[in-house]
Amino acid sequence: MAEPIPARPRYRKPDPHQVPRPATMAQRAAFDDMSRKSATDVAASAERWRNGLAALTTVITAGLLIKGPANAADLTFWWRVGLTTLFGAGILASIAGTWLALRAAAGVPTSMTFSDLVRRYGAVDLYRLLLADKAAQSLRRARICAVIALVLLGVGVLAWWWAPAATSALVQVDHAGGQACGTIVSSDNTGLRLATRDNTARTTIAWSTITSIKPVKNCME
Amino acid sequence: MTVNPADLPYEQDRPNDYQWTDKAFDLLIAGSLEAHVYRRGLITVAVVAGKCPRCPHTFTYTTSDFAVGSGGQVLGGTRSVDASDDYVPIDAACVGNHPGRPENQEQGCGVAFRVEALPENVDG
Repeated sequence: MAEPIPARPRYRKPDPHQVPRPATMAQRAAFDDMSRKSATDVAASAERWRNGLAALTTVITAGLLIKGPANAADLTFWWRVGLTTLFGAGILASIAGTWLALRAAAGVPTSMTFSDLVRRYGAVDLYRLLLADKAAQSLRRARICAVIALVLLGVGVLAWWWAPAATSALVQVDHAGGQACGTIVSSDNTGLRLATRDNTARTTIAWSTITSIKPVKNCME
Repeated sequence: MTVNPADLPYEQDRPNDYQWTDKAFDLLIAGSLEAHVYRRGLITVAVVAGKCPRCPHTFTYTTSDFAVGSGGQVLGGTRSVDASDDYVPIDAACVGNHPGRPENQEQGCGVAFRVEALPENVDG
């Protein structure tokens, strides 16, 4: 049977060669001062990040809502899907960053009795530092979200500048027999041959009956 | 005759002499001084409270190895702390007021001492 390990004494006498040095004590006092200011420092920093991220989210979202839909209509389908994904993910990352920065700055109010605090944390200073550490972690995630948002939105804007506009080969032909819409297949002396948009039917319209031809973005049924 | 704590001059000659650490250990054993080390995760806070080994002041001294700086760094607890359950050294000092204290010192009787205590992990 194994011998029980004796409990160690709570305190140990320090080595005579290890006494606090005046310079160390001065540095320690300065560090303790910084430690006590941790919660307020991180909250102030988080507040600035929150304001910046909120402004970024507002400007980008407003810009895309005002200009986006009309301009995006000129893009081909897959370019529109790609840019919508980039801008959507960018806005979501920006909103997530704002939320995390808000949480770091404002915290979450919690009720607690003194005995609860002592039982769970031992000392008030430990509780405060844990809160500061949690806020710092939230702020770190908020900054990562901000970087991701900026990259996504930046790539989206650059891609938009180079996105090819959707070319519409559709024409609407008004003629004596009515109206036809589709893509031009060919033309000769006899007339103009059109294919319907899904290319399932073709029609030939004599030149003499045509009153107007105009390009259209889509064929209205 | 009882010494008035406020009358004891600030220690200038031997502020970091081992005798203060030695006396502090005796006070710890006698129960006149207490040292608590609270540790949760990588954050450690130490509280030393009780009688000063030099002057008759009673004091509470709190120190920590962790701070969050506003320059983009988390200090201390990142991770240079020995997270084992070994004795934790705490350099402490009295926080009372004494005549002759230099202007660059905010408080204390002039001595600093070291105590070593086992940490109390608080993970609740």
